[in-house]
Amino acid sequence: MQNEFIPLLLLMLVAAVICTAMVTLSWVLGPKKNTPYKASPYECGVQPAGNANERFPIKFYLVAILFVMFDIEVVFLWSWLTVFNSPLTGLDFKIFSFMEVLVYLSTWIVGYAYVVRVGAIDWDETTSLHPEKLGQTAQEAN
Amino acid sequence: MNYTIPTVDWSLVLPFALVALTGIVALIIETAHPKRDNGLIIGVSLTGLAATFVLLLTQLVLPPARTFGNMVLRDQFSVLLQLICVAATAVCFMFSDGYLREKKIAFGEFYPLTLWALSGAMVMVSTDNLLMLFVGLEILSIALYCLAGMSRSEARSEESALKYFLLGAFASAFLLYGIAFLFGASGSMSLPDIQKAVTGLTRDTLPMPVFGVMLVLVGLGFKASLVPFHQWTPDVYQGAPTNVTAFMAAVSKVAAFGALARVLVAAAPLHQYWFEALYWIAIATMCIGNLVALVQKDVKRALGYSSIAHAGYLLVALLAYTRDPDKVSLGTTVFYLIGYAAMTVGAFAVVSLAAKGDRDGSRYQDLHGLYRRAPFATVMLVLFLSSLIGIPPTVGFFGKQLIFLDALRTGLVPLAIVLAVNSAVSAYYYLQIMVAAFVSEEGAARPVSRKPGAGMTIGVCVCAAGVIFASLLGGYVQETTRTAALQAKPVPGRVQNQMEVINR
Amino acid sequence: MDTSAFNSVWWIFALPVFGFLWQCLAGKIVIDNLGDKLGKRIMGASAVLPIAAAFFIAVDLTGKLHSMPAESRSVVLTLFDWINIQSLHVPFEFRVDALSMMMVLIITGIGSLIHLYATGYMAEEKDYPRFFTYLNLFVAAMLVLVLGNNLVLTFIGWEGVGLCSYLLIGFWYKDVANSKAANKAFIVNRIGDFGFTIGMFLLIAQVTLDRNIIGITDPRWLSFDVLLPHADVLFKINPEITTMAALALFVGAMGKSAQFPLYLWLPDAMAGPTPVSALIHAATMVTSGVFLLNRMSPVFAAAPQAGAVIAIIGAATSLLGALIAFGQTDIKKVLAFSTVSQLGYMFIGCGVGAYWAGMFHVTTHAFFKALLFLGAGAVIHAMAHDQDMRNYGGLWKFLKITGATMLVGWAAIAGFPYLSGFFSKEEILGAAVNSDTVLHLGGYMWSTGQVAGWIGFVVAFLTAAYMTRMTLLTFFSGEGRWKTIAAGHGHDHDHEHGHHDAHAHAHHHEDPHGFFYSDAEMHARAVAEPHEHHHALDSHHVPKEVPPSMWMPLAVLAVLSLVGGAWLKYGVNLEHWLYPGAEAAEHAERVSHPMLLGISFTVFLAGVGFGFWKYAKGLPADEGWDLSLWKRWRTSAGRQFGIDAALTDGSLKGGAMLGAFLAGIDKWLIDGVVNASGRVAELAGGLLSRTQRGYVRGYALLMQAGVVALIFYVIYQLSHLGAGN
Repeated sequence: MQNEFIPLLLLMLVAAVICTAMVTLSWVLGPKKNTPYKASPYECGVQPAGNANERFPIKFYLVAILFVMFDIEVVFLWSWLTVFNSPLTGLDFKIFSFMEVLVYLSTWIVGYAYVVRVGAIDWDETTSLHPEKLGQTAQEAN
Repeated sequence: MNYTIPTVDWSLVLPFALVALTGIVALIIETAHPKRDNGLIIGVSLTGLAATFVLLLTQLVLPPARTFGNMVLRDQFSVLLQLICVAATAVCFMFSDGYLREKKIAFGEFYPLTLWALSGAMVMVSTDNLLMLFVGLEILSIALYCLAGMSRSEARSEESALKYFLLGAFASAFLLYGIAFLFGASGSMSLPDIQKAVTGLTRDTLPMPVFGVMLVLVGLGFKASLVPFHQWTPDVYQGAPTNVTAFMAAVSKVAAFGALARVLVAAAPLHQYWFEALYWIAIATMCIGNLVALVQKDVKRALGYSSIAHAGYLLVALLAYTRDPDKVSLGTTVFYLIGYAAMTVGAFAVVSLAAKGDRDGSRYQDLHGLYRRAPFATVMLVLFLSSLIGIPPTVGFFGKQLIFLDALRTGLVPLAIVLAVNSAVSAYYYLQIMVAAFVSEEGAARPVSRKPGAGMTIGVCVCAAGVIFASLLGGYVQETTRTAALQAKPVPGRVQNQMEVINR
Repeated sequence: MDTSAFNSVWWIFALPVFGFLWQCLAGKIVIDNLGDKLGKRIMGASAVLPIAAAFFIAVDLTGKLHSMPAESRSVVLTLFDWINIQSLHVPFEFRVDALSMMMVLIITGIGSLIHLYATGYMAEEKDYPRFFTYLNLFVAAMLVLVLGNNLVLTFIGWEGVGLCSYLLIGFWYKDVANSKAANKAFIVNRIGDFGFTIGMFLLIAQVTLDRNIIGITDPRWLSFDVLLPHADVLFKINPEITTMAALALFVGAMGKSAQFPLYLWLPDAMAGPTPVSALIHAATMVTSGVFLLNRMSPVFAAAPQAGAVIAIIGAATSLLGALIAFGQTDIKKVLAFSTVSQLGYMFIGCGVGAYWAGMFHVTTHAFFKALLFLGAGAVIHAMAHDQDMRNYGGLWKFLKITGATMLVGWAAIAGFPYLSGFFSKEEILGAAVNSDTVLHLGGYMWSTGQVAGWIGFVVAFLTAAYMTRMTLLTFFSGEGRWKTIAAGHGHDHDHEHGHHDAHAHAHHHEDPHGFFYSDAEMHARAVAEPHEHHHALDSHHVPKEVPPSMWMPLAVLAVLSLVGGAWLKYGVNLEHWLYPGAEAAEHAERVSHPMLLGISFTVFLAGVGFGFWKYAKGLPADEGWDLSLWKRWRTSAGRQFGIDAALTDGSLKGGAMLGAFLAGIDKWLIDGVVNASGRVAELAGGLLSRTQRGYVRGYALLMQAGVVALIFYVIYQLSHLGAGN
């Protein structure tokens, strides 16, 4: 009975360790530049106070949307995995459904590759955008 | 619980799988060399569409079939509508080249997204399951939301995308709500099952499916831009890039009417609860579309209202069919959709010539001088507009004539009269567009329009051939859909009344 | 029945079409590249050959037809299904029978002779291929008219020949008078065509109403071979409508065949080149009205009242034409009015039921009138394109061949016994004076058939007289008057535009009716297009005989005029050939031939004698000789008794008034309604577009309102319909 919860505990433990490590390491290794922007409560580009009709970087939303989408992908995988893992499932069905999931995942991979390739999650605008799209900025850069 | 491999007839899903796959391939090409292999993307897309078209042609003669647990249906009706969608998309691709360059829209995004939208539309018409219908609708819609906002430097394009998205989501909610009602009433998502279930309802069980049908009609009516769910149409048509507008006008309408036809046929037993409402909606759609188009100053907007009006005509055809499926054929709707796709895509193709830089240049005066720069395309524009008016011997005339006769045959005389009057009224604004194209460019606000490229010429020629020769298909379409209509034949039954139930 | 033996009929039609295409596509290229002389020779030959070939095919077909039993001499050949609307099929089909082949023989036979003649006559013409383009097209259209097996095809040919006639009358379009003449012909023919279509639709209406009663199940019921055998029953169901249809068809025939009052265009049509006058305006097209009456004879037979009207109109036309011919000084005008008069004869024949006699006269008239026109053309050619007979005289010395052939023509038309005109005229008049054709009008019965017959004898007298006048003034009656032309007869202005043979208006006729051009425009055009002057007719002119290409057709036609009538009557037995089975009953009732013969001889001799008495001596050299004889009457005749002016002016003025009236209605009433409805629509559109404010929330609100309305509707329906249960 108790043994059943051990994996769960382990998972929590690993998660805690990884999170702590990441935060600590970035705090130790990363450069420390304190800007007011960074110091803002949510640190996601949204001003916590003031007029709501405000311009904000679209990047945050892009990342958020991409996150949601890939998250949902995992949800689908989960439901498939439940069936896949069932002892009642025959081998031929496992192979068949695995192939199907591979096809499904490959479309996600193509999408991910595209997103990376066009620089949708590239935070540095100078590499992700083409010079002509930068307009004024590009000229200043030159 | 034992899971077995379902037996699937892949040939049924192959057409839209092929289209979606083509989109993925196009995206891979873009990923490999961003913004370099534009020609290759066009080539791959058109090849994929051509293959799909041929595939569908071979399927046209096959008997109706279902697969995926009856989720996917292939009959002549669905194949014909898919053919229209594929052909219209192909023409959009042909003329998009120059326009996309002019507006600096990424090829690698336009082509895959359009292909996926197309696959959604194809799913929508090749099912009689409400769930699949919804999935198809959403595939189509989400891709269209993105496409409408493709021209990112134009505020109007962004605006149209957002409007379309918000209102589309709103309409989808109604659709889902309606589907839920129908599912609740019948215990099935499949339209034939629903049709069977609602045939023998009593007074107490009646409200649920009736409300369900109504709400589904709202959702689909939005896509088909029926009044009063039409208001997004002019804004989105005007704001979206012209080639996207062409795609939207043709494919989205075909898909919406395909779905609407199946739903209405399934809802035929409840005839007396929705027919009159749709009757008045048809009248309002025809009148408002044409009347408001009269005062427009923008070609794309005017054509947007024209598309509303044509939705009204199509609804008349559907109503006539649901009223008496023995006397008239669903082929009228299919035939009109063929003609409508050809003429409207052609018209938008020519109008896209007036785009310059980040502006679409679609006001009437922006067309001035078009004849000087692109005489052939302009003459073709005249042809397409003539067809939209309904001047013989174009397909527009024969289509309207068929609808008119159908309406008369089934006793919908007021609808026939409203249709005829509206055709006359519509001539005014179509002629205005024609005149604008022939006015000399001197003194025009912006005397610029591109010279048409080869793709444009070919695309326009295809549409022109459609407009002129599609009328020859009339009889064939009527015949073919008659066999398909066996699938969709409504049961003109009435709701059993209480007494009969008790007597049993 | 195997009709393959008759398939060559398509070649009869196709050859002129090929000729037409060849002339219009290659004509200019050939002449430009091969030089004027050779090019024209090639194009001329290639214009004649298709028609001649078609003639020989037609001869062959007629032979085949002749070898068949009389009752089955009607072959229908279908090329393709042309109009197919549910219960009505109108194929593109030709009918080979005695009547159509007779017309085909006339068209191609005389047509090829006239084509040959034209190659010589038009040799100096710049627009040589254009002329033959039109001429070949005319032949093709005329063949459709006569061969077509249904009224629709006939109508196509009908319109086609009308078009060609228009084009050829206006062939020298740079002279505005010719354009006006062409317009006049075209417009007057519209009236006739209107009648034709009305008649056709009345027949169609009758058939659609009654065909189930009769039991016509063949969807080709517009075809003659289906329709006409039922005509005697079908068209007696509603005799009034049949009479109306017959009269409407006759109006069509009046237009094409220049019957009073629609004869107006034919004299003006002489503006075209003379071969055109001979072919179209004498031999073939103008007889298509007679052909129509023959083709539709079962319909006319079912409407005896219409026949009575036709006979009396024919008689009036023939009398009028003959009287007017006396006043003409232009040689072609004399022949034009003579044609009008002779066409009147044919309609007398058809009106009294002797359709075959009408066709007989069509044929003989085609022989001698073509001959006379071509002869007149030769004279005009020799006289430097002067058409005024007052400048002729004594031409016999110069033009022996032309003169001899024209004398034959004169004898034939004047009714010289046992020449071709004599027989056909006698058949018509014999049938008329014995006819029982009566018109019920105002409670009385009018024996219009017999009246028409007796008028016909008067006209025969007049014909002999005016033809004698023409012949004497041209070939005899003193020395050549052109030698004194310097003295002038007060008609010198005629020569000013004398570079071609036509004047749209005669000497007396100062007011050519412009349909479309003001006088200022006419003048401007005349100045802008200076004429190329031929050498004018002056006192030193020496007439020369015409080349063989021109006199050979004359010779052939002269032979036909001499013996054609006798051959058709005794050799062919034309009545039996055209209407087998109808002859026996008629012959018995006829007045004995000797009496008719006696009258005919007397009339002929009297007419010729009168002509000699008045005109043998020619004219005094010092003054306008012709006007001194019954000056007032003759001047009046020259002006067509004012009929032309009255009708044309009247219709122009009336038309203008009607137009102004209708324009007023259009402007105030119809435009008002249209504009008002447009304004209302625009206003409504403007108001409705106010609802479209561009806010998503507004759009969503409207959608929501729509949904709410629908739900209310559904609730209402549910409760309402539920209450019924």
